[in-house]
Formats: sequence, structure tokens, C-alpha cells
Amino acid sequence: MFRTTLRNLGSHRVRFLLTCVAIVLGVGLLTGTYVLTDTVHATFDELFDEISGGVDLTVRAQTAFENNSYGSDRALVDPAVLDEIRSVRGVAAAEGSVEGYAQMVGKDGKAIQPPGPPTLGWSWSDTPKFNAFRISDGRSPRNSGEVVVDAGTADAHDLSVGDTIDILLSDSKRNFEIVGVARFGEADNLAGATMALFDTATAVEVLTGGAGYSSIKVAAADGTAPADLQDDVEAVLPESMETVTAQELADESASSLTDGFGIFQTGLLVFAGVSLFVAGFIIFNTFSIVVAQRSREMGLMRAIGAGRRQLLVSVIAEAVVMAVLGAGLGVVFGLAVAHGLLAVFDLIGVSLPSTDLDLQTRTVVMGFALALLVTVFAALVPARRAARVSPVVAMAGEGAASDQSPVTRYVLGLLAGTTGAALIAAGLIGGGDRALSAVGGGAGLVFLAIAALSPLVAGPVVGLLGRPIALLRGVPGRLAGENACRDPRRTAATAAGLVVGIALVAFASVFAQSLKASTTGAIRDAVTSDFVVVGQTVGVTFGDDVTESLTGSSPVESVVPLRGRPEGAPWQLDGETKAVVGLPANGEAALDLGVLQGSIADLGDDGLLVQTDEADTNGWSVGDVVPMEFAKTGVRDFTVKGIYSEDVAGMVGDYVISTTAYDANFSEPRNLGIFLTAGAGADAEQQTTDLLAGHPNVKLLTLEEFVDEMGQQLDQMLGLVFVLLALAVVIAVLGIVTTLALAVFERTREIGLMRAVGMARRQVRSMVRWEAVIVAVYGAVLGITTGLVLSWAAVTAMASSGLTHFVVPGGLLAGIVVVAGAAGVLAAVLPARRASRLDVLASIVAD
Amino acid sequence: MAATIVQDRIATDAVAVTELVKTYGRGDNAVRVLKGVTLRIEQGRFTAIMGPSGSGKSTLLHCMAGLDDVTGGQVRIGSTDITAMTEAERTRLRRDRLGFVFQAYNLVPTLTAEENILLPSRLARRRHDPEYYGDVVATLGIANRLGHKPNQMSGGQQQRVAMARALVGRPEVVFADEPTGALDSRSSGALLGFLVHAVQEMGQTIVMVTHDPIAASRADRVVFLADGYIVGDMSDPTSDRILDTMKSLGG
Ligand SMILES: Nc1ncnc2c1ncn2[C@@H]1O[C@H](COP(=O)(O)OP(=O)(O)O)[C@@H](O)[C@H]1O
Ligand SMILES: [Mg+2]
Repeated sequence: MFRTTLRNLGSHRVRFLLTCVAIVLGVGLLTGTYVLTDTVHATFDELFDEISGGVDLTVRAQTAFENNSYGSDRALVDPAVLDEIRSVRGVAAAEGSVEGYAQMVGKDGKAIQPPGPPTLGWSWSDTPKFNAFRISDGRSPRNSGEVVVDAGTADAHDLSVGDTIDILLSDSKRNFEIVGVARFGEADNLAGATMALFDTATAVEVLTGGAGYSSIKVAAADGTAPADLQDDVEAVLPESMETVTAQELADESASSLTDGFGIFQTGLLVFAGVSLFVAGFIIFNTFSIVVAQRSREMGLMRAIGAGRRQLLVSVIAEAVVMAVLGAGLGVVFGLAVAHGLLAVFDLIGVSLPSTDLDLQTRTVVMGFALALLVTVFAALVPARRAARVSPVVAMAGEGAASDQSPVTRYVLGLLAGTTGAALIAAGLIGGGDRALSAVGGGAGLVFLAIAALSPLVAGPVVGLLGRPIALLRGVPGRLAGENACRDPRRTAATAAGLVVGIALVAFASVFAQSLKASTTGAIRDAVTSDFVVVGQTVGVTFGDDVTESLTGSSPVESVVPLRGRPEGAPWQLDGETKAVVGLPANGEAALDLGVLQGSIADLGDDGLLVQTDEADTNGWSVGDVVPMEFAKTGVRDFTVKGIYSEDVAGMVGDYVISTTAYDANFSEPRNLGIFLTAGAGADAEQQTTDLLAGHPNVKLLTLEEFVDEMGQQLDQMLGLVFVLLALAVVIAVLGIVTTLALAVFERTREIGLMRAVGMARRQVRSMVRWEAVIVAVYGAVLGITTGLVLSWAAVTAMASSGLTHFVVPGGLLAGIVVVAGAAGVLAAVLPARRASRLDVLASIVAD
Repeated sequence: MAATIVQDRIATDAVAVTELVKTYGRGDNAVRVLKGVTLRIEQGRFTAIMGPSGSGKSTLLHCMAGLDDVTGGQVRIGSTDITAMTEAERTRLRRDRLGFVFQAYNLVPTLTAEENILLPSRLARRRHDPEYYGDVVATLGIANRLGHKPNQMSGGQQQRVAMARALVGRPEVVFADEPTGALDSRSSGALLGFLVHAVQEMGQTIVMVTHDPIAASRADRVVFLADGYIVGDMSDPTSDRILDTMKSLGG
């Protein structure tokens, strides 16, 4: 029996390969993602192990919760603590270390901003075992006028020893001489971050305003175990401080950096999932068609004594061979994917020290397991159909075995659909850490449900789509429509890939457009000032020195800085992370938050403004006390001083505190923007721009420009969506190609007959092509409908978090349908060619 | 005088096959199926081609009808030499000038009877003659089946639909390969009746391949094929005479 399996596979190599491609893609993306993440992790692990090897203990302030990819908010360490530590027995050396914001200004006068990674300033240690950097050119920094820069930035921006450079610091801009270029371990920089290194005294002054160290590095004396030393050191520390070992610190740093790659990981895994999902449908279709074709042969086998089980096993065995080969190729492809992505990272400046790709057993096992699971699961229904073939079929000829009742299928579909919808709803409304997996799993179930139920609508919808084509393209068009309708279940399974891909794209574009409309709406509602100062690079915050340059200078009248972080300045309420922004007492001069009660001016040191919906959800009213927990300062009681409109949540979020309170509880008092009122006229704009001359990291925008820029930012998100569309379409096209090729094979006689009575090759191609277009457009229509329903649900569920508008980008969605149709044409190229070249005599001679 | 006769013949022959050779395969595997067949099919007559199984009847039909290319010799439909035609030209020839009835699988399963009948003219984007269409459909007795799909019809009905398709475009020749091969004797007799009717009442030229002496006896003329050669030619045949000839051919 197994030999039959292998022979079957061998004799249909093309079909086999096509079926495998989707598995290869899915497993490839999956393993590629894991190889990449593991490699990045291993690289950083190694790097940080090497770097922190000489630092036996690190002393730092405790943090209430971890919150930030590049280190947590912590209080500074009082320099007095350093002396205490030095006096502990067994401490060979202890040194203060500082890190903070420092952004270099390039020779072109523009602030150097890497795409994503931060711009860092660090203190230079002269103790080699404390210093992760090695000078590759020049020398170390010795006084307050000198700086060493990382080799990556030096290369990219043509900086060399002897140059002078402006560096933007949290409260000023200063000029330094570059005295050296340094490398970070083996790497040119730290995962793309720019590094300015100052001697320790200078670093304390320019990075922390002289307030203290970020941490203290401790080396144990020979013969003293770091673990013993840890106890002794902790004994002299104030309550609010902690010590971490070299290993802990290395792990922490490595995983926080690896987390920075999380978004890539999520994106890639989504597509790995889509590929495997589509692979499932391709396999289902292939095996269904093959079983139908072979029903005679199987009937014969049954007649000569093969058991049902044996037939079932033979089909499953074929699926297993396919899965194993596909997964094997997939793992190889995954290595290539990881390699390619690393090259891309390198290209955009996020360079990693060269390391071998890290292919872990877990990754391989997962790839094979998923491939097997998907393949066998998909082949199960066709295999059971094969097992039910009656021996009589061998004699009777055509006619496959009876099928599982559609009712079961619909009931299961409905069940999956409702469960999926419930999961999505729970994820969206409940939020929290599990939200993503709940929404993802729910979406998967919904897609399965759609696949199960869509044969119900496939017939009528495809019939409708076929009508205009029949009118336009005559007989080939009519036949295309008929062929697409022939087996609604097959059509539904063929289109399933496109449904998933396009549903995701439709969801994302509706969501992005709604977000854009809500955000720009919120800005228009909230901002009453003429001008806005924002970071030169979208989404990059800036220091308060900009505020100072503007305050009190003509023609500027009021200056309202908005404190916050692009990802949201975090605080926790009973362990749940929320975001807050800070506004000064004169906030109402530039912003109208639609405050129903209270006022921005009255916030003081512990006052809180809450958005209406959020206040309702928590049952708060003016006068209630909210225990806000900050990473740096722990729990602080804030009193609700006012409630503001939910319409502006898209701009300031749900919580507003005073600038003073913000600065007291967050490490870096940086601004998302500054809202300005100034004397009217073009002069005012020019004069205000002049005031910003010393700040190359910011720019002045009019309110309209600001709205546009926020819109563009969201449009870029949409750009990413189009990359996803391309990928989804590619994968879906595979599904159409496979099914179509099989269908052409199945219809050999019919095509031969039509050719015999006068159908031209061109007409055969047209027939196949239009069938593909119909199936593709059907997939697009169903996908868009699904995407619209899902996004409507999401937007509605998130209305209270500022998603006040539901926008359907009609043109874009129409474009997607066109793209899907074009994809159908593309998918049909090979099957159509094959169909048109079929032997005319095939229909007459066969049998 | 002789020249005029030849000329007339060329003008009135529906199909003229000269020294037709057909070989399948190449080199050592080459099988010569037709070894030099010369045959003229007169217009307005019902010609049957008979011979033992594997003698090359279908091959000859395919070559005459432009369904297959030839290895040597010439085939003319009317005055058109089809041996030099490209595949696209032959497709147009089949669509516009010929009709076909095969043994089985004659109809496109997704199309209704009517759509199947009108398929060639619609492929050509040509209008059919509704009156003639009505006559053909009525004669064949399928007027009440026109909206049905093939799987809703009996084998005999399907073959009649196929015949209607072959006749409705008034082709120069209708080629039929064992059209009754899959039918019971009643349906078979009825179908042959329609073929005869088409020749006698509508002036249709029909070439039919068969190995059934009873079917062949309904034709005006029977041509015998054996071993790749024409080995006999009988006018006004009866089934007994046909059987005798077949026996002598060892079929
Ligand atoms: N495509 C082909 N390739 C090789 N041999 C063929 C092919 N078609 C027919 N033949 C051979 O040609 C011979 C005549 O076939 P055919 O014309 O179908 O005979 P008939 O219709 O008289 O039974 C047979 O021996 C058959 O095996
Ligand atoms: Mg034959």
C-alpha cells in the first residue's frame, strides 16, 4: 500500500510540488522567524555576557515594573552610595555609570536619528572590565569638551577624530570634539542605537543634570564570590535600591533588545500562519480532486480485498510524505529567510555582529509538527471519502462516494464562527496580555467558519459574478462562470486563501483609516493654538530646552508642552498598564479638552484629569483617589480633579497630569509636542521658526500641517499593509494555481471535446482565465466583507479608547478587488496554457 | 472529356483523401496505422467506414476531419487542402465547416442542451439560422429537452443533442465515430434513422465510422479498411453482404 502512495506521488510531480510550495512557504516563514529571533537573542546574549563579564554586580534603583525596551524608568543613584559600596569588604572596584539621551547633529545640520533605535549617551569607564566599548580610533574622552562616538554612526555620517560635533542633550545643545571612535564588543553599535560617550563627570552633568548615576558597577576582589558580595553590598544600600548579577543583567539587556524585534516577529508569524492556513486548503482541494479521480482505482482495490482502513492510511501516508518533504524544504527556506532579514537589518543600519544562524531543535520540531498537523488534518476528509468508496464503483464507473452531510459541516462552521467571534470580542474588550492571542485565535476560527460556510454563498455569488463576464466574453465567459459554480465547496476552499489575506488587509486599512480620522478629528477638536512644534522625525520626542527657547520670546504668546512618550508613558493601576500625558497649568491656552468639570490649571502635584468613558468604566468621579503606580517612584495617590471629553482621547489619551507631576514620576521629561499661540501672520511663523534655529531635532508646523503629518504617519502604517497584501496575494495565488491546474486535468475530455467542435486555443485560455478571475474576485468580496465586519466590531469595541470614527476607504477596497482579479489572471497563466495545449483527441480517444 | 470528369469530381467531392499516411511514434517505436489511403467522399451521401478493431478507422476519420495532423499525403475538404493548415486554421475549419458526433462524452456537462447545440456558432460569434435550428430540434425530438443539462438526459437523448449540434450549422460534412456504440438497439436504430433522414431530406454529407454491420447497412456506401489500406468499397450495402466481406477480412 505504501508503495502505491510513493508511486502516486512520483507520477504527479508538478501537482506534488505545487501542493508543497504553500507548506514550504509557511514552514519557511515560521522557522525563519524563530531562527531570526533566536539568532538575535544568542548574539545579544553573547555580546552582553562578554560585556558584563567584568561587572560582578550592578547596583541601581528598584523599579516597580519593567516597561521599556531600552531599560526601565529608575531613580538615579546618589553618588554618596558609591562611597558606601567602595567601603564594603571584598569590593575590588566600584564605579558610577550613566546613560541618557544624547543626540548627535550631523554635518548637514540635521539631528542624527536612526529608524527606531534610540540615541544614547553613556559614560566612558577607564576601568577596562567595566567598559563594553573598545576604542578603534583615537582615544578615550578626558574632559567636558570631548566625546567618543560609535563606529556605526561615525561611518554612516562621516564623522572622524578631530571633528567637532553638536550634541543635543535633554536640556541643552553642546559642542564637543570627537577624540575617538569606539566599537561595542564585536559590533559597530548597539543594535542600531547611536552612542555618544563622555567621561563620567561630564556624563553625570550632561545626561542627568548632575543628579547622580544611573547605576553603580561593582567588581569583586579575587577570592570573593559575587553571591557573597551581593549580600554585603545590599546590607549598605538604602531600601529602594537593588543589586543584580552579571548574568541577570546580561539576560535582561539581551531580552529587552530582542523584544525590539517583536513587531517583526509578530508580522512574520501572522504570515506564516496565513501560509499554513492556505496550505491546508490547497491540500484539502488537491486530495479531494485526486480521490475523486482515483475512485475507480480505489473501488477496484476494495473489490480485490483492500480494507477501508488501508485506503484511509494510503491517502494519509501520501499527506505525511508531502508534509515531511515540505517541512524539510521549509526549514531550509527558513534559514534563507532569516539570512535575508538579517541582511535587511544591516541595510537599514541595525547591524548585528556576525554570528552563525541559530537553528534550534525546537524550531525544527515545530516546523515539522505544524506541517504534519495541517497536512494530515486537511487530508482527513478526502481520506475518509476514499475509505467510503464502494467496491461497486470499480464496475459502475464515474461517481465518487457519498459525502459527509453538509449539515454537520454547517453546524461545525457555525460553532467555530461563534466561538471565534466570542474570542475576538473578549480579546478586544478585555485587553490585557492575552488579547493578541485571543484575537488571533478567534480570527483563525472565524476564517475556518467562513471556509465551512462559504459554499452556501459561493454558488449564488459566483453565479452573479459570472453573469457580466458571460455577456462580455461570450461562450468562454459563460463556461468560466459555470466552471466556477460547478463545485461550490471547491471554489470556497480555493478562494479561502484570498479571503484570509484580503480580510486582514481590509481590516487593517479600515482600522488605520478610522484611526486616522479619529486622531485627526481629536486634534482638530482639541487644539486651539496656531502652531505645533514636533520632532523633526515623526514620533521622536524632544527635551524642554525647546520650551525654554520659545517661552517669553516675541511673537510667541503661550507655550504648552505636551509631555509623553510615543508608545505611551506607562503607569499601572492594579498591575494593568495605562498611559498618561503631562500638561502645564496654562494648558487651556492652547488645548480645549472639552473639560466637563475641573480645569487643567488646578492639577497641581497630585491632580488627575480622566476621560469620560474611562472614568465611567472605573466608577470615578471628581474627588476620588486613584493609586497610580510608576516604575520609578512606585505608588502615588492622585485625586481626580476633572473629567474631559472622549472626543479628544485620540490625541491625549485617557489620563492627564500636570507637567510637574509628570517630571517627578518619569525619568525623562520629554515632549511629544509643544502647542503655541503666536501673533498672527506669516511673519509670526517665520519669527517662531527662527527661535527654533538652535534645535535641529524639531520643526514648527501650522495646525493643518500637524494634522497632515499625523495622517501621513498612519498612511505609512497603511504602506506596510500593502506589503502584507502583496504577500497574501502571492500565497493565495498558489492556491488558485493548484486547484485550477487540477481542474484542467480533470476536464481534459471536456476541453478536448470543445476544441474538437471548434473552440480556439485563445478561447480555452480565456475560459480558464475568467474562471480564475471569478474565483479571485469572489475571494476578495468575501474577504472584504469579513474584514469590514471584523473592523467594525473592533472599532466599535474600541470607541472608548478614542476610535470615534468608522471610515471605509472605498477606493482602496475597490482597488483590492481589482488587484485580486489581476492575481486571478496571473494564477491562470500556467493552467490556461496547459489547457489550451491539451490534445484535441484527448476527449475522443480516452477510454 | 476525362479531364472534365476529374474536374467535376473534385468540385463535387465533399472530402478527398490522397495517399494518406499516418504514423504514430518515432524510430523503432513507429507504428504505421494508415499506409496510403486514397478515398473520395461524395456530397450528399451517407458513407460508412468499416473494418476490424484497430484497423485505423478512427485515425482515418480524425485525419479527414482535421482533428489530427497527417504524416504524408493530402486531405481536402471541398476544394481546401487541410494538410498544410495550422492548428488555428483547422480549429476554424472544424468550427465553421464540419460537424461531429462521437461515441460518448459528446456534450459539455456544464451547458444546457441548447447551449451545447449552439456552441460552435457561439464560439464563432455567429448567428445561427433559427428556422433551421427549430427544424433540426423538432426532427430529433429534443425540443422539450433544450433547457436540460447532459446529466439530466438519457444516452440516446444526449446523442441526439450531439447530432443537432453537428447539423445545425449546415456543415459541409458531418463526421461520426461509432455514434451508436454506446446505445441500446432501439436508441441506436432511432439515431441511425435521423442520420439517414438528414442525408435524404436535408442533403447532408455524413461519414460514419462503425464496426456494427447493421449500422453500416443503413449507409449509401461502405468503405472497408484493413491493415492501413482500403480493401473494399460497397454501394447500397445490406448487412449480409457486409458480414460476408468482414468475414473475408478476418474481422
Ligand atoms: N495516439 C496514438 N499513439 C500510438 N498509437 C495509436 C494512437 N492512436 C491509435 N493508435 C494505434 O493505431 C491503430 C489504429 O487505431 P484506431 O484508428 O483507433 O483503430 P480503430 O478505430 O479502427 O479501432 C491501433 O493499433 C492503435 O493502437
Ligand atoms: Mg475507433
